[in-house]
Amino acid sequence: MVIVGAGLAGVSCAAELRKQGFGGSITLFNDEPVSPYDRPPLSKGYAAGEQSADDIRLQPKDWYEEQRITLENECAVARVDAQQGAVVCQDGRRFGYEHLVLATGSRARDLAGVPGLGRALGDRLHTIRTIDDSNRVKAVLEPGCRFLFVGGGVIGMELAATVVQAGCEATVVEAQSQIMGRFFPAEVSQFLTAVHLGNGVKVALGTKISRVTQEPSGEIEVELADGEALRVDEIVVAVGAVPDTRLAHTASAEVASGVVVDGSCRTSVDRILACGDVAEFDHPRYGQTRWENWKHAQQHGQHAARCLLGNDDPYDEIPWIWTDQYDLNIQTLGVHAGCEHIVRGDMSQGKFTVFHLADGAMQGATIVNDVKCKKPALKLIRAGLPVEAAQLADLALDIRKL
Amino acid sequence: MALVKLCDLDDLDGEDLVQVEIDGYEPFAVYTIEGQYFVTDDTCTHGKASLADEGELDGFEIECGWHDGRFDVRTGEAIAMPCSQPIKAYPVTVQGDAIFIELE
Repeated sequence: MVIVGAGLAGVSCAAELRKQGFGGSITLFNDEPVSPYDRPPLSKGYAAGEQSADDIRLQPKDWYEEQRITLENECAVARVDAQQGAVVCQDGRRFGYEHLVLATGSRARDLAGVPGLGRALGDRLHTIRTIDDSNRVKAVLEPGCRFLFVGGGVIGMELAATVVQAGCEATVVEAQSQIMGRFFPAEVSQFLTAVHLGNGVKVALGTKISRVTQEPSGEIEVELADGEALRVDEIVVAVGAVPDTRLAHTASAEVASGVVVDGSCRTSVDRILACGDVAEFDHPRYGQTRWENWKHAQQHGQHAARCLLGNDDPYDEIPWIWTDQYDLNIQTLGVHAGCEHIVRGDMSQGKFTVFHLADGAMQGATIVNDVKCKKPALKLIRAGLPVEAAQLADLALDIRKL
Repeated sequence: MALVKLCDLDDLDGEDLVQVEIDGYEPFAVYTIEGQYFVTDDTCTHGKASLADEGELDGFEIECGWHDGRFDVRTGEAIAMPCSQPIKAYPVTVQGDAIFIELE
C-alpha cells in the first residue's frame, strides 16, 4: 500500500490498516520535513507557544517503525504512473504500488487581484496550513504587533483570538455579512463577533481589502473597498482552502470539487483511492459532497483502509466541526442552511445550543460550551424523527429523553 | 509521595463521574466503575475541558466532550485522537469512608 499525504487522513488510514490486521507493506509519503502532526493547534495552542512540536505529533516518533510503516519524510510525490502502478517522487525515485491512497489534503487558498498583496511583502504575508506557517506567526507574536486577517473563517477567527490574547492587535476583514458563515447561522456568528469585539478584535464585515502598500519602514497600509484605511505589521490571508488535486490529475483521475470517489473511496482509476479533504465523495444522506474537517479526515482515512481490505460498509457520518476561541468550545453537527433555529439556553451567558430544524426534523446543531447536548443532538439528527421546537427549547426537559 | 485525602465517598453522591478539588492542586476527576474507584487529573491534556463535567464515561474509558479524545482511566493512557499525551492517573486507596490518592 502506498499512501500519499501524511496529514490526519493519511496517518489514520495507515493506522487503521494495521489495526484491521493488514500485514503487507505500507509506505506513507510526507512532503514536509517534520514527523506528521495535527493541524488544529497551528492557529491556537501551537501558535501561542502553549504546545510544542512534540505535543502536536499525530503519533509518537517510534510508532511508525513499531507499526512497520515506512515514513518517507520530506519526499514530495510528483506524479502517478497509473499504467505501471507506481508513484514517482520529485527526486526521481519510483515506488510501485498495489493500491494507492491519495490523502493529499488541501492548501491555503491564495487571494488574487489585490494590488500590492503578494510576494513583495515577504515574511509579513501569511497563510496558515503548515507548522512552518505557524512558526512564522509565532515569531512575530510580540505585544503591540498589528495583525490584519483577510477572511473571517475558522482559521482567521481562531488566530485572531490567539494573537489578541498574546497582546497583539487584530483586525478581521470579512467579505460576507457575518463571520464564519459556512459554519454558523447568523445568530451564532453575531454572538461570536460580540465576544471578539469584547476581547479587542476589530471586525469589518461586508467589505474587502482593495490595495496594499508597504512603507520603507516595513509598515503596511491597507485600503478597504469602503474607503477605510489602516496600518498593520502583518497580513494573514485566511480565505479558505483548495483541495490539492495535482497528483490526481497526473493519474487522470476524475476531479470535480475534489477527486471524485464513490462511497468506498474509489477514484475513477483502478487501484487508486482518495480520502479526506481532497475527496469529493458519495454520502448516503448528503449526496456528492466534499468536507474539510478534522473528524472527517480521521474517519474517511479509516474508511479508506477498511474499503481496501474489502469491508464496504457505507460512510454515513454526520459532519462535526469544532472550534476553540477564548474560553469557548463551539461544535457544529450536521447542517444549518435553510433551517429554522431554536435556541436552548441563554446566549448572554455564553452557554447554549442552537438546533437547526427543517421538515420537522433536526438537521444540525451548534453547541456553545454546552457539550452535554452533543450526543443527544447527534442521535436526533441521525434518527430524523419529528421533533418539537418548544420541547427542545425547554431547559426543564432532559434533552437526553427527547 | 504522600497519601492525601481527596474526598469522602458520600461526596460522590452515587455519581460515576465527579470533579473534586482540594487546596493546592488542579482539579481531579473521580470515576466509580463496577464498585472500584479511579482518579485522574480532571483537565484534558489536549483542550482545556473538564473531563468530569463535560466528559462521558464508557466502560473504563473517559471520552472528552470537546473533541472526543479518550483516556483509559486506569492507566491514563491516551487511546483516541486528538488526545495523544497521557493524563495523570493516581493510585487510589479507600480508607474507611474516604478516598485517598498518592500525591507528590
